[in-house]
Amino acid sequence: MNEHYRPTPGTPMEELDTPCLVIDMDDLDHNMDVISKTYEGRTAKLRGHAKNHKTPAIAHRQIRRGGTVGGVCAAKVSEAEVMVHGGIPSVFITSEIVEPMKIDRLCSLAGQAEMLVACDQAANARDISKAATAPGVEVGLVIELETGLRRCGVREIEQGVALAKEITSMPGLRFRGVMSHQVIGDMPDREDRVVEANRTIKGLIDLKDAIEGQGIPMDIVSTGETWSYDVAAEIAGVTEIQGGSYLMMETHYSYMTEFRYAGKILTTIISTPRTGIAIGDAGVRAVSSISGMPTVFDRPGVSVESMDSDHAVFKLESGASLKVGDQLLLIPAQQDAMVSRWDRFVGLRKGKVEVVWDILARGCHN
Amino acid sequence: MFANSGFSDILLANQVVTVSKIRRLCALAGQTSIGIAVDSPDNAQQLSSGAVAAGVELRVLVEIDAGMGRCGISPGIEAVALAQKIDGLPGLKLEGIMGSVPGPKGDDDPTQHEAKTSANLQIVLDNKEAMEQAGLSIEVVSVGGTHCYAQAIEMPGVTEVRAGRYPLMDHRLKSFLPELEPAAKILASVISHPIDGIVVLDAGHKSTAPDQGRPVLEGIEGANATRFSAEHGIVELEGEAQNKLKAGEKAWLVPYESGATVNQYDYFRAVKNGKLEGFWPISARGRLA
Repeated sequence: MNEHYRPTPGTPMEELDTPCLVIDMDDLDHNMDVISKTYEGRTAKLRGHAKNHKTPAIAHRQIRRGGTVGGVCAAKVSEAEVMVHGGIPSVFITSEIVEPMKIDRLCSLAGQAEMLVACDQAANARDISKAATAPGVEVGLVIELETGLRRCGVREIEQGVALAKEITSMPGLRFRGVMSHQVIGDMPDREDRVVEANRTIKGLIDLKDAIEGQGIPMDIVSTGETWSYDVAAEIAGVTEIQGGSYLMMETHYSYMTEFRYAGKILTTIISTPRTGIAIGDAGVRAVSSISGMPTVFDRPGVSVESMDSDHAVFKLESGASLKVGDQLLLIPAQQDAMVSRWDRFVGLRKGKVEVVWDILARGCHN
Repeated sequence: MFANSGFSDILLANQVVTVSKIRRLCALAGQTSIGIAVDSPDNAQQLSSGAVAAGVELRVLVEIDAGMGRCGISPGIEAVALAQKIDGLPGLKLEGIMGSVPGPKGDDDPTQHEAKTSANLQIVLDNKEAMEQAGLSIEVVSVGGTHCYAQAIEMPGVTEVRAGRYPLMDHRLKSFLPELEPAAKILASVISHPIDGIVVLDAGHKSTAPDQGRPVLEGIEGANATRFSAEHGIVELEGEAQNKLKAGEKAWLVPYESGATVNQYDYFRAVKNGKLEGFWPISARGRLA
């Protein structure tokens, strides 16, 4: 862990060393409050995805501010370890865990917190059952249904029902329910999102009904992501929404204007070699371009033309000017790809450092 | 980081412009010999003041734009004037000139790329000559990167090649530099085989950083890594490959851009003949500022 830079609370933004991953704390709190209001009085609650922030301090803040199930999702066992060791009482690993070593680690976590894991194969369920029996722990299994990503998940309802039956017969396992995950393109109109959520999530409700029709009870129907955080919660039967991007936000979801851009990269202009061009000290290692170039925040006439590993080239329209030493804020096209490149967040309120949070699960790929 | 690890000569091949960073740079120059790239007169003045205040001397290379369209002063009169200014400033020692030459993209034609590289390298040499004609002493002519390492040493006048990619190599340069082998790879596991013809790996873009290009699955004919989402990699299988890569099995991915991949990890696992030999911390990972 790189400990060399930890600005003191109270430091003004202008004095931060750059590039720097910053969070506007007012915006972060605002985004958390949108969630707590949205889920007030509803059956469905948010289970925030920790893969987006990788930081127990943020997970706890999110849970405290309300609207959640009181736990988080994680993408990897190592990420779940950081969350459980950081005191989060319930963690749902939304990927299949198949290697023996990882299954043993999952079972160790199940002795410390409530653990749920996605499953799409009976052989995998058997492996987890065996590993859970010896230490006498219980792992919650959630059957993943494929709903358009062409990735993991059972493809057919019958397949899911058969798997649910097998899981209920295995020691060390508790069948908890079903999950799905959907990705959509740009869909600014809420009505379109209602239709899309109903279309993609319908299969999941069908699977739930079919399994329950066999006399097998479940308490979790988990689906969703930021784009469907509100519309999926209106679908009868859904109990949990997996959402994470809303917290820092990204231009990919620019149409969701109820959320604010909380996470940004602060960069400094290091060179102005030609008229109309300025070079910043943040490249793709600081703000991934995997889903598109970042956008310059609140600086009319300045845009990102290209990025290399450690540089960004800014284009200036006539009238806009930048000089060496000026600071800019960049908002990412995809925020979790940005966050996973950093060791800490610098939280600012009204332009001054309020907190520094270690991104304890950064680099947790396993 | 590198100065504190004991290296005695470091070239910071970039511009350092903020007051706090210039102070750190000058503190390092008190411990070890530090070279720095400069592309503007104002920055030269700033560095000079910083070096004088700290009582150190910074070695300076004038960075010129050798085709990157990024940092670097425009070649010609402006570059010579900047070199003259640096030569006259206290605390700075004009040591030479540097330029970065654009590397090839995956589908560039190697012959055309070579011709373009020669022309770009020549820009640096022409400017060196112009500076010398103005009476300046230019000891160092530094060019980069790895893609031109062999071409650059054929050009009289080049004294240093800045190259970092060759030890680990990657898919992006493989077809241009077939004499170098990709040494750094990502080891991934199959976590799901949901339908015939598709398997899902536990390595997505967070563990591979495919911003500049997708990693390539190695060693299994008919198996191609075609999609990466944040946490998952999708491999499509054709022919014989359909019987390979069961859940729990391993696959090797060669990064498209090794530097970007390395930056996602805290350690290298050094493997020799299939066995773990070393475990090296990537000490400067995340040192983005």
